[in-house]
Amino acid sequence: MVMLKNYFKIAVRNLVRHKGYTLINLVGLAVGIACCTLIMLFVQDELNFDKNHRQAANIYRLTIEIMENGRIDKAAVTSPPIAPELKRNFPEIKAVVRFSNNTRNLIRKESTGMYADQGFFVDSTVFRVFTFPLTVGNPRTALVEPHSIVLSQELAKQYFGNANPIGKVLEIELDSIYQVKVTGVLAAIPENSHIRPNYLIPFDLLKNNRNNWWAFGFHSYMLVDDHFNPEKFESKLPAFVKKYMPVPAGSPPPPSLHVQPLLNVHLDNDISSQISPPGDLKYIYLFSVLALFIILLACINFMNLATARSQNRSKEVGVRKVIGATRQQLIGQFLSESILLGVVSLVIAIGLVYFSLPAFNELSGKVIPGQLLKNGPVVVGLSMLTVVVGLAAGLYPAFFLSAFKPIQVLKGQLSTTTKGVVLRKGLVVLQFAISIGLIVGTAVVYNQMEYIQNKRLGFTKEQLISIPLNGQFGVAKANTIKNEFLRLPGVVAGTVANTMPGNRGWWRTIINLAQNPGNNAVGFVFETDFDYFSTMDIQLADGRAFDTKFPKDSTQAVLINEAMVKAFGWTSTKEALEKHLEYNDNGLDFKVVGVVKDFNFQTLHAKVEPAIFAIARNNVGYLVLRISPDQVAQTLSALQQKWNEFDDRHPFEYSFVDENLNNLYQTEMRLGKIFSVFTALAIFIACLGLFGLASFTTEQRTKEIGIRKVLGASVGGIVAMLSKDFLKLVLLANVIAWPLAWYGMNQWLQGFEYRTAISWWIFGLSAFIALLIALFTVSFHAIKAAISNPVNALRSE
Amino acid sequence: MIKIENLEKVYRTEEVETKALNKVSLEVNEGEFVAIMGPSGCGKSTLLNILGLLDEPDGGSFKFLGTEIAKFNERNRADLRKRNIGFVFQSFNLIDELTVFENVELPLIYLGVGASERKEKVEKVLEKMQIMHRRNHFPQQLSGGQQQRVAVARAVINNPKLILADEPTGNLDSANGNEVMELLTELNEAGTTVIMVTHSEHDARYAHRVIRLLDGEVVMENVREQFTV
Repeated sequence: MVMLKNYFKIAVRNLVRHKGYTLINLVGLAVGIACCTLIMLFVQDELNFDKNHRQAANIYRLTIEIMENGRIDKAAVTSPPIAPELKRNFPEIKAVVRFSNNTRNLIRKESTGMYADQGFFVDSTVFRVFTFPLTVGNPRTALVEPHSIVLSQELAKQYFGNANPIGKVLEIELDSIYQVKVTGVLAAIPENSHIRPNYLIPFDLLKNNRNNWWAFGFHSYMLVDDHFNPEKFESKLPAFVKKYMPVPAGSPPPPSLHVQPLLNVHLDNDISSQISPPGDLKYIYLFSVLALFIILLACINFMNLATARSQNRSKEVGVRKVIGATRQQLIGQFLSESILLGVVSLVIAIGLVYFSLPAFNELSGKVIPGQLLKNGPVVVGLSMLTVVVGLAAGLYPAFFLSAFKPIQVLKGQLSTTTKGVVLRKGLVVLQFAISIGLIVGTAVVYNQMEYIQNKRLGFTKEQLISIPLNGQFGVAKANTIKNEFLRLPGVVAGTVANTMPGNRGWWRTIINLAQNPGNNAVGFVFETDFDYFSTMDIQLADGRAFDTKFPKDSTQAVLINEAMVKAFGWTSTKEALEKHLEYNDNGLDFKVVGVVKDFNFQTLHAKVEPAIFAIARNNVGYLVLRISPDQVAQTLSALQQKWNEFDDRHPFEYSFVDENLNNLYQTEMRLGKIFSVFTALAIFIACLGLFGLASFTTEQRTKEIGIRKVLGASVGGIVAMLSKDFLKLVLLANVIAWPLAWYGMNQWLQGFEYRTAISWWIFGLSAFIALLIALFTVSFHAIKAAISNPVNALRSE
Repeated sequence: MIKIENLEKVYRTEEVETKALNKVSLEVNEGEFVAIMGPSGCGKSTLLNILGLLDEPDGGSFKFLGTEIAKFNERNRADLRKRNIGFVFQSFNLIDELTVFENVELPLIYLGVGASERKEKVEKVLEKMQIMHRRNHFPQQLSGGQQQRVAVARAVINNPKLILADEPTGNLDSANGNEVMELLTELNEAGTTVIMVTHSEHDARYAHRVIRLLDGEVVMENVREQFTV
């Protein structure tokens, strides 16, 4: 204890005395720990998804696997009858709940109506399975009555202010208009819950497909008992599917059913059609590695500086040894010093984290609350991190310093051992290799984002706006509005469509060659009008586009894309023409009149999938307009005015297609931003270390510099001499970093079907940046040493 | 107290091998004051370091208080050292980050002495060295003579049987130097054995016996009577 007090005392005095050294270490370690903490919070948040549900461990999601175009596709969807029928068949299931896809509906109170997003048709069992506490209302009965609605707090506030909404009536527009009574208000749902409803309406209000075994557009979850064995359960499912979903011989097999634990849902991005975009385990690993790198950089600074300035400490070591300190005691002393430094850094780091959390949330798209820092596990984690950092940083210097022979150091015979110097240089190389790797990584991510934004998608995404129709108009009315819009001066072209490029989760359908159901392909269906290809600027590969000159086009013609031609195994677009296709079980037969060139209607992560285009006959989802680039604001307000003439119930809404498409790459954009920020910090930490190291080596060479100057060396020559050593290390770091960075980033790029090559200039650039920064850092000391009067240097010896 | 026979110490660098001590034998009895003299590089500091258990010999025998310690390991030597030997250096070697009081206290901490006892002992010795008024100063705030008094205080704080002094007056002016020599003489008269390395014939006169080294070998031993004027 006394010993510790003594260590502590001398540590504090040492830190205070060598302010520059202390500052470099404190700043480095604090920034390192802060980065690490932020990343840890991020990872923690990702790993804790859905833990807010009390019975999370006993909740499973139903998924399907289906063979499509020769590969297995996994999707988190089921058809409505499956889950209730499963419950009837298997006693281990205690409850099931079905969610529709999230819907967007017009909700009105008296004369004011707003669209609300993130609504779900759900079974009343939702509160039995999931933990969605209600601030008011009874979860047992809330959704039992078909004409009821449960609102989020924000929504309740929007419509009712602070008044109690229970029992109040709202009007919701579904397939028609319903009066629904508010029966509950949802308490705030944690951000890291994969289902975050804004409002819930009873499944009974859903009119279409309720009993359709093949309508795979719903998400089903089941609450099971404690003895549930997922493998055993899954083994019973093929028989279930066979019984309830029989298929005629020769047609494709039905999908197979599977279960997935709720706690695995968020990080499984292998499964399509999820209720909300999943996270990515890859990024968790990536960020963890990033955190490790940054903390490593800070630790290396400490090690390097501590050993570099060992001469300053050597006398103390010698004296203590002479007086009777054992090596273990000295190791203990140096370790307590580094841990003390770690603790002080931790305190600063917590302050940094606290203040940077809002910015980090912005950057990462998360909502991590500051209070999380007070959580037990986080506190324990941080304390452990500090001790580990203290030990990691202090262990080598402790062993290094405590090994000094007392007589040698007291006689000033301490020679800078080559071992120490080599290690220090090695660590600097490692630091810069990491920094350079990060620079390369950041550059590649940005390059790819640039590529994505500028890639020709096969249609022109600029100046294209999409106006959602939310099903309130039939095709005829939509066309009328479109024609009215086309009269406006800023509108260049217009079309209608059931879906827009970049939309998530719309259905694929099996498309059969007529009279030959065995020959089929799975593809996306576009229902449009005669102006689709010209408005979207999609090129024709063969045949012709829809044409009003051919009246039969509206009911008996389709176009397909090149991917569909391949999916059917046809060798040329010519071969596809005049073929007859069937889809949608309606027995209609369509003739292929043309083939369009492939265009990217999904993210560039995926290849262009097979698609078929037909003229819409019932509802369309979107009105699509190409507007002129001039006077966009006027055009938009003119559109709104015109819209209100047709429909004063529904607010006019629109979005720009290019922006919607960019939103598809939010994860990657965030990755890019997070990467660049942490790269900058990593470089900063590495430079701090280099700065400190340069100051010590320059100090050690003061006499040499003095002699050289006396002998006639120029300032430039001395700066060059001092800088050269460090620049060599940076160059070596480049050589090490390049292949690793190339390999890593190449792996990342594999996730994109459409990607840039990693070009040589990225490596050149990263080398240049690293060299420039290193030169700048080192030359400060070098110039200072070089311009000082040599007499001073020599006199001090 | 100390008996060494045929002690050898060799320093090796990559190319050269230097015999710092070549079969040195000598004996020091309890209560003696011995000076070791010789030109630079004759091996006297090496000898002192071995005597102080700071360095190991490469050959020969070294009995300290009747125990053969030539083959002791670092830990055992450290233990023996902190209980029995006090050091005084030419360059004082105080720890800059500690105050006078704390510097003197340090050996007691390593010996595991309790706080109140430490305070009492340190104050007593500071009193004796007449630097009590400087107890809260840091070494740089003291003159050379004062620093060396602190160093002596630290060397004697745990009543060592042996004090090893390596040119204790080397960095001091003659007045301060004499003061330190008086201190060592006093300690010796109180029963502590003192072995001192010095260049100074003047300082050597305080010793009972002078051992002269040249090129790692003992070339002459004389007792005080033979060289005092």
